Amino acid sequence: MTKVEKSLDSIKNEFSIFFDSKDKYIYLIELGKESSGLSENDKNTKTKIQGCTSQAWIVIKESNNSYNFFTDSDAMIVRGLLSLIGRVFNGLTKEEILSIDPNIFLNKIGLDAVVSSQRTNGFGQALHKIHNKLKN
Amino acid sequence: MLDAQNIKKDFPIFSNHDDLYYFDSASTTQKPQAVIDSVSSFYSSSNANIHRALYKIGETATDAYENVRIKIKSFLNVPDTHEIVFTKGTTESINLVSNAWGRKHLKQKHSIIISEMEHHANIVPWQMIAKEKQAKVKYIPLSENGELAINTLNKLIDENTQIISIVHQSNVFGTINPVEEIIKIAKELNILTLIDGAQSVPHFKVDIEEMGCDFFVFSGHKILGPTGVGVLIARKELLESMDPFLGGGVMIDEVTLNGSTWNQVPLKFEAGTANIAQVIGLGEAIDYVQNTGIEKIYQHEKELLTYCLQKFDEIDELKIYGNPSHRGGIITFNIDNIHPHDLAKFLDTDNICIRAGHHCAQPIMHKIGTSSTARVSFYLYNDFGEIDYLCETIKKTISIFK
Repeated sequence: MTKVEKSLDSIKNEFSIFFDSKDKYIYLIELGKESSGLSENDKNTKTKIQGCTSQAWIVIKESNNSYNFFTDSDAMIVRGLLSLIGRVFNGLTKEEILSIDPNIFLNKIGLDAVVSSQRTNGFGQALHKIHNKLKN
Repeated sequence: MLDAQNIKKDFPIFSNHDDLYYFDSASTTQKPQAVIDSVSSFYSSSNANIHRALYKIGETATDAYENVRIKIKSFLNVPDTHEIVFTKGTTESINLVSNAWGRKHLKQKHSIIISEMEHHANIVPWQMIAKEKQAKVKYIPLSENGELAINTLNKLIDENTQIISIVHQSNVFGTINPVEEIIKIAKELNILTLIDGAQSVPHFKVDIEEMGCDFFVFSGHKILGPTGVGVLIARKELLESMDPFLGGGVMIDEVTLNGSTWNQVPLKFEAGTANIAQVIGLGEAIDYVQNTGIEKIYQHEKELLTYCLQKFDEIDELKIYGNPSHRGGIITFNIDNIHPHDLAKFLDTDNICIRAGHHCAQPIMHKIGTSSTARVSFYLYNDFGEIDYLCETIKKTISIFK
């Protein structure tokens, strides 16, 4: 199992104790509250995640060939969801991050049924933004 | 009050979802079985292209399509069926006018007056044509209580003003605008008017001849009809003076390699194969509304609105935006410390559908100082019990976030 797969699996286990969507949302809100978020300066047009129905932002930082991700949103569920990106990818190399198909991230953590459409919550766009940046 | 529980039986979405509390009819309405059946029946029994098929099912399809024009003429008291153009929705209808009329008639320094209350569909097309023609878009200001400052209109109008395009009922505040007053002022100065009826036609009686506007637009899907169909109503001589919006299909009279001439109105503006099934579905939807009674629907929504405003007032953390004196069944609000998206997601876990976002009206959001709000909107299938459940669930959600 790769590092990414281990992290995804661990998140999946965490969420598996909640049976209904409401409890999963409550947990996402907790994660959102715990997220350190971004400074107002970092919330700009460059970092904005397009296509999200709430406002959301992602900052990507690279150092010594490894990457770190900092995210924020004005909606707490999205903020919680986006915080999972950093948890899975922080400190990893480009190759490790690109190893996971952005379209199956939510499925791997068992939240695809809860977060029914990646199109509206910005999560998918955030992952695609990461892929586009790292590929170029 | 209408018997909403009985009405719900006509809408299969409610039997397919045991406890569905649908408060997003301003976005799109649910569809009665009769509308769904009419679409299905067209494809099963008389599917053929219209206006050209020289065989029985083709003639049946053409008659069914053209009969909807007659229904709309009667429903909205339009002087002439030739003044009714089928489009794919309100947005396309406005774009048709801004392109076909605007491109021909607008000139440098001309002005278009809209308002700060408009849906993007009645802002962006005018901004686009204004940029192209070096014309100007002016805005009637919006007050904090969600009403237009009509008294500014005389100051905004000048000798260059060509058209005033205004929403009939706001999709954010529910405000019913005094369009008759605006049309009267415009008429005296020979300025054209366009009324965006997307949120009005489904909810209260509209009489086009009495209103006297030059253009009127609405969507089928907001009045129980299918998506992909809308209507532009325009004075015949205006339609005749305008060049086509799209080319091809039934909109031509004659095509040669040297050029083309145009069909008569309204077909001049119905290029390509029409949304035949959707138009037929719209006709069935109008029948449903007329059989229920548009005045009864209006009264029903008015009572729901009054009741919901009272119940919302009891929730301390809930802030309602706007308080227009004349309004339809739409309430826009926010809850302290809960993002409207989070609220919508939580309500959804209890099968409550509300809208959260900017409602395609970002200038209004800027005006009221927020990026998004929650919104509930009512229709003939909602009742007091649903509003009680909505309020209880909002209170529970507030306690979760505390």
